[in-house]
Amino acid sequence: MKHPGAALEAQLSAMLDGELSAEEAAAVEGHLSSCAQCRGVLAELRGARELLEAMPPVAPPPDLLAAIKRDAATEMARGESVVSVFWLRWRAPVAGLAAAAAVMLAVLAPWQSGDRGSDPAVCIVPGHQPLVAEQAQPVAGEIAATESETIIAEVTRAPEAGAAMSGVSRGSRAARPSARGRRVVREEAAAGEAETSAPVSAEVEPVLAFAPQNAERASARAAGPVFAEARPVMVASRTTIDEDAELEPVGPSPVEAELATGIVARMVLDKYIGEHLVQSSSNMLAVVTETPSAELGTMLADDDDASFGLCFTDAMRRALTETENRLP
Amino acid sequence: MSTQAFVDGEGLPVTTGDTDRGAMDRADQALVEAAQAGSPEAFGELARRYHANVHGIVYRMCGADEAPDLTQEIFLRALRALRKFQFHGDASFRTWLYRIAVNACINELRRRKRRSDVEGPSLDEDIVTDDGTVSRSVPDESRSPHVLAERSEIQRAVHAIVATLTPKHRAALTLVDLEQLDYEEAALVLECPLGTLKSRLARARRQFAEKWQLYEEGKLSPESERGPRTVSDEEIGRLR
Repeated sequence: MKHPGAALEAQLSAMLDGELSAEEAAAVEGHLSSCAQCRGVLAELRGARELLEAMPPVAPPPDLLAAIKRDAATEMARGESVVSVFWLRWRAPVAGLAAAAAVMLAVLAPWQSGDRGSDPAVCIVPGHQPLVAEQAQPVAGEIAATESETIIAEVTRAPEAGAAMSGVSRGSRAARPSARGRRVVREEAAAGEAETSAPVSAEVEPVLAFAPQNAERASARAAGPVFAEARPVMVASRTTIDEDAELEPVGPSPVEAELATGIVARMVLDKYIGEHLVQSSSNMLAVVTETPSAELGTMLADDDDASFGLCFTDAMRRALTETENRLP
Repeated sequence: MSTQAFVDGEGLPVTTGDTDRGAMDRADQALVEAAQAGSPEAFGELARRYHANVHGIVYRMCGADEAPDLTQEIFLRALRALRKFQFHGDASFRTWLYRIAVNACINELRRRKRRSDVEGPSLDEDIVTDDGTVSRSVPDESRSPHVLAERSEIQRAVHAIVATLTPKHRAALTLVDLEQLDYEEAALVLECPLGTLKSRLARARRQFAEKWQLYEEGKLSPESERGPRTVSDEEIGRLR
């Protein structure tokens, strides 16, 4: 056994605390029986330990606990306030994002399939009114901004939506619908029916990830009461298309579009896109649905509050604006 | 010994003053979850349970003057970090909180050392050396309740000698010998291997014992009734 050394000293000390295994203790005791120096060290250690353990606990100042509780109450109240502000500020935008994303994916996807005449389409009906939207004209060129392409390209990574959106992401004219004049998107399903659909749950991935055939289900989710509460009712419903009817450009309100764009911009800037888009969006939408305020605060506290609303860029705004302009 | 957890009038889990670690951890977990959900009462109960221990750690490591304010700050830090806390493996709220406390104390001691390096020691400020910290003079705190509670000469001497140890040695000694943590938990708090904890503790005890010997020989003694310790420069030299 090494002697004298830190290892032995540590073992002597640990033996006092009963922290040695039986084998280790036996070895140390065997050494002690023949080493007066180590017995002296052990006595020193024991004396120190006894002195220290005999120290009475330090009594905290009587007002310390009250001060800590006061601090905590103030801090938590401040945090709750921040959460409330966030809630009020972003509840509607998140709803807008969900609706805009649902529309964007559901509407653009059939174009890619080249079967838009027979497939059901989806539209947004603000305030329960039928949505009548102007048919997008064929796109003469690429989506202008590189950033725009980036956004769309990244969005297409979302499961199921990828194939449908890839043509748009590349700005491929061949993949886009040709000009067909005007058409009316007439609401077929009653708005009230959509309104009574199942409440939006935390399971929100389909809202952003649905394929064309899932449009109705996603629309029903997007039409849940939470969204109705968040902003004038956003109802997406199954529709048929009348190509002879008059067009009236309708889409998300400018405020909604801008706010939705902002959140998308945020996601892009934060690199929450691609494979993370669906999950990230789910988190955001979970906020809208049923997340308790404290959990919301926890989630949002990970974000830089100060920069949250400052992530708009012209390119990103243009990206969604251009996309919206193509919505029928 | 077991802890019987029950729920008080505010729906908070409460324990009946026992030492069963598992039951304490379970009760803590319920409180932590409630606090994470936004309950100030739950956090208040956690503070009630641990504020004396945290204050004790700070008192031993940083001295009486800093203890109340730093303890408050530690709980505030804990509250702000609470959302990230999760129970898993060996992690308990107590361990986690003590770690915050010890780190805050070590940072405070380092801050003092940096200030001392830049400004030079003041007449009433601790001298922080590579071998530990030595109180040069101590402000009058004779009327403080915690000082009154610890005014016997031996207790003041013990406290003063602990204050001469390096922060890491001081932390090991404080957690194991003063706060009665077992080695495993102390190692978790200090985020070091068990063997390192054993070595630090043994070294701290040896250093304490050597300095205690000096104290008993009259070479090191608290000179003032007002504070825990005053050591002359000469004595510091001898201690090195």
